[in-house]
Amino acid sequence: MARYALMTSGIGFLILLIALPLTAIFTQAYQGGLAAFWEAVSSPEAVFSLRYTLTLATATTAINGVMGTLVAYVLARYEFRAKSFIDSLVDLPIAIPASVTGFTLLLLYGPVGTIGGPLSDAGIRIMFSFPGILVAHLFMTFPYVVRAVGPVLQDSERGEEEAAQTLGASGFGVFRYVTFPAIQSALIVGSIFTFARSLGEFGATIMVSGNLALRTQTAPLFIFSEFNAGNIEAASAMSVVLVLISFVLFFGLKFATGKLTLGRALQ
Amino acid sequence: MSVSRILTIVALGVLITISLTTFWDLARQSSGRTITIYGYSAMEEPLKNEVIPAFQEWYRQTHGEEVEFVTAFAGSGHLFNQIRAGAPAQVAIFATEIEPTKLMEDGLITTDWRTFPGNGTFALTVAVILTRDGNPENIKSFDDLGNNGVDVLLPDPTTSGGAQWAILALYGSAFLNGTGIPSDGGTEPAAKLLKRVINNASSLPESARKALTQFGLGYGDALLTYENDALVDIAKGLDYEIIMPQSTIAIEPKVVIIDANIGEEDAALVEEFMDFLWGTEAQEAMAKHHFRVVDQTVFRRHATNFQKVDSPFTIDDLGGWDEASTQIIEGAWREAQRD
Amino acid sequence: MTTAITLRNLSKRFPDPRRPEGWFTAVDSVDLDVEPEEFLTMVGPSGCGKSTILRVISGLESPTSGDIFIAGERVNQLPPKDRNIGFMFQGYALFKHMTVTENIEFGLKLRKVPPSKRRTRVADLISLVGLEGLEARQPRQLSGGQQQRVALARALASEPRLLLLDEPFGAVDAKVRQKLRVDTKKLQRELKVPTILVTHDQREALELGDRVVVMNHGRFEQIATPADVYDNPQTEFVARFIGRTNVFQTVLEEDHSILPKGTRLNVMVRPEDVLVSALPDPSEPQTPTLVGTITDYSFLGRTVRLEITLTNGTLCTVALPKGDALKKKLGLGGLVSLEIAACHAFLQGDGSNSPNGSENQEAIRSDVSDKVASP
Repeated sequence: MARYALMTSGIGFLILLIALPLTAIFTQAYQGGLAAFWEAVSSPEAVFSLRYTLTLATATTAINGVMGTLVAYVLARYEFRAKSFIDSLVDLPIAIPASVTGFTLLLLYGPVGTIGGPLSDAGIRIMFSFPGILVAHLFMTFPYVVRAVGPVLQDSERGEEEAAQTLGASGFGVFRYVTFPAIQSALIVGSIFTFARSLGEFGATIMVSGNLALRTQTAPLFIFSEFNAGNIEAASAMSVVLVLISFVLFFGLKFATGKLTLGRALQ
Repeated sequence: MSVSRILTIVALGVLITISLTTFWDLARQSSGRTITIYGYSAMEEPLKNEVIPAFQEWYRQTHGEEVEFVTAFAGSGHLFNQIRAGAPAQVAIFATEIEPTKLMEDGLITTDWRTFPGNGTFALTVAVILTRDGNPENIKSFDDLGNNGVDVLLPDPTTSGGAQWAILALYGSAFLNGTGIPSDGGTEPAAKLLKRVINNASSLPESARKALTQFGLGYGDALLTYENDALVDIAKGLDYEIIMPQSTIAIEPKVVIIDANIGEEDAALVEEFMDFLWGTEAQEAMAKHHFRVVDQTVFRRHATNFQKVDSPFTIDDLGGWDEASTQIIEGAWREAQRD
Repeated sequence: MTTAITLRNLSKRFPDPRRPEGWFTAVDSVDLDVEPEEFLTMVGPSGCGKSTILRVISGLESPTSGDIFIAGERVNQLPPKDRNIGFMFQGYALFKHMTVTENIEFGLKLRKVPPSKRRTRVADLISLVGLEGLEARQPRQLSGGQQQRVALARALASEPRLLLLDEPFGAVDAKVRQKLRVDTKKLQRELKVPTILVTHDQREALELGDRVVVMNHGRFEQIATPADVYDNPQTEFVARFIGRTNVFQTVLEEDHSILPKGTRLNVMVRPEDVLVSALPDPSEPQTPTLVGTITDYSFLGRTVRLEITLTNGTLCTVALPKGDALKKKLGLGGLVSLEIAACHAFLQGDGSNSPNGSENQEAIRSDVSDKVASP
């Protein structure tokens, strides 16, 4: 009895909270028919923003994939004084409001900021351009790879790495043959989360992007802009595209991890 | 007690709490005399600090009753979306005429604001250029914003309805040639100017307020903004300089009543508030907050605070809002961005 | 002939802010020479530094001071990958995502051995350790004993100059352990690879080692053959740690050549060095010998272990062959007289300074019966 009550309330909540709004977006997007949908997502601004967002998400994932693994490795393998402090620092981007991140970066990299000052004297501008948005995305998505890879590194015995060393492996060899295979699937999971989060990042992006259509406008900013301009159809159409990409990503993730466990069970 | 039972109870508890708070919220709203006002961002300070308290005082003295105000201030586009989605605004002040027009098409507005004094405008302002102190880039006109190496900030006309004035000012200054008569080259010089300015733009913040904030953080050499906003910042002691172009656009915000949200019992109150906006007290308040008010007696008292505009033009000189929004905002501006 | 490995004045300290001196000394100025072909075992309680020595030798830790020579070459600065030492880790540390073959082949691959050679070598090793048919399995599909063999084969694959085994039988159950010990010893004899095995199990150390190092608090207490360590413990720690022993506290009643009267001593007596015989009549007066009652009787197979409570209340453990116990009609509750055949005495409260001269030993032993009887 309790089981059905639990199932009903659980699934009901999920439908109410997630499935219903998503359905609404879909119906909204297809209201004008497929042709209108296509027109909405194929305008130069829409195409650009989508391409820009995907490039951004790819770059973010690549950098945080490497740096996140590095940080996770340092935290898992070395003992140092400020370790627990650094460790809790990693999670902060989740707790800090995205807008706060955005304006902090805007201040820091601004013409009068600590970093931005010298840079702007040198004629380099980070904010309102790809590097600036990238910095914001790196910040916002930083925890995912670290937190996915960290536990695996923590669990995997240091012994395997040392064994490889005594068997003739150099530092890179140890990573390539022992550490990397161990963290591989966790890294994929972390990267997908990073990518998805970057894809949907809005709060910090709107602060630092400059919001220039066809220059620095990401897909979520496009949606925001179109919605505020009253073009609900264009906003919904782009939302649908983003939802679909995310869905494919997470479904692929499920499939990949499912296959991995399945493969293990078969052996 | 099993874990699943505890979870069930927790889930039910959450659902009940959510529904209760929702109903409580709905129930709370219907008590006493209230009036709900939505206004675009620049209206926040004068209304909240001066006009509303003054009206409440006046109402207390004439009717012996309290009036409660519910207010919301945001970008025009945002206000429009909320009202269309059912926000209970009774009076709304938009930066442009685009939103009221759409709301009228939707049937939410039935009283034409053009029947109000000043065609629905009770205070106006103009588009100006704000530069750093001493005007280091030596900007004299809208055209100078297109000069090489000038870093321009201007709000995004797609998101902020109000920001469209900035584009219209740019466009109009070139199109009307500072004479009020369309130039010989037709729309060509205007489109070119838009293109030059967008190429110089480093950021298109989604609201005029945010543009001002970014400018304050040190971004940009010049900011295209409203005179009233610029004067607020200068009054705060910020080291800016207002550059008044020889020719600029008169920005006419529109105050409208959302008839769909006004019940019979509120109609008189709303009407009294509307009248109050054009009264001396409200006009004084708006002038104090750097708006060029429509009451000429009041304006003359404050005239020294405003720079003279040699050759102002209005939206009508650009063919009215319908044409301006399709030809300039949706047309020329998008074109300029796409190149 | 050069030694397989030589340690000179080797120390390893780890920073430890909780200690007043700021560090923890895991290995404290030790010297060691391992002969080619020798099987050396290193035994001591956990935390005594024995595993640290292996890690320093392999290069996984660098020494704080002192030198390491492998086959005469000083290797202090050599990274682990270039030392060519076979290291079998506690818990084996097999590569989880690799098959048995891949695990064994790993070192050969990194050392760029051509594939054809690699294949024959792996096949040889697999048959050497008896893992035929399991080549394609992954570690988690193997039993503890099989994993141990993979680890051994992997450590041996590139014909290391030295084999280090850290608690190699710790993760397998008792029955398998015995067989693995025998196999490992045989293999070492066959391959003649100099080997250092670290264990906390003193019986394992005695059984496998050509020589045994007994360690405590980062120092070597004794390096000797198993028989020597057992029969002639150099320190009280060795006497207590290796084998079972009775400890009696006593005071010298008269002056000896080097020890004054009144010196407090700990006397160690092995259970099998106590001679027991049944007392025919309890009422008969007993002057020089120790007397006690059998309060526990354990049958251990070939031997019998007795727990005897002496008249003064002291407990004494005695071991004797099953046949003797039967012959002497010893049983629970029986009254017995004891005689001490051999003992080792150490000054109380000072484990390092022991009167080990056989003369002293003899002198003390002759006193012991009385001393033990009178507290």
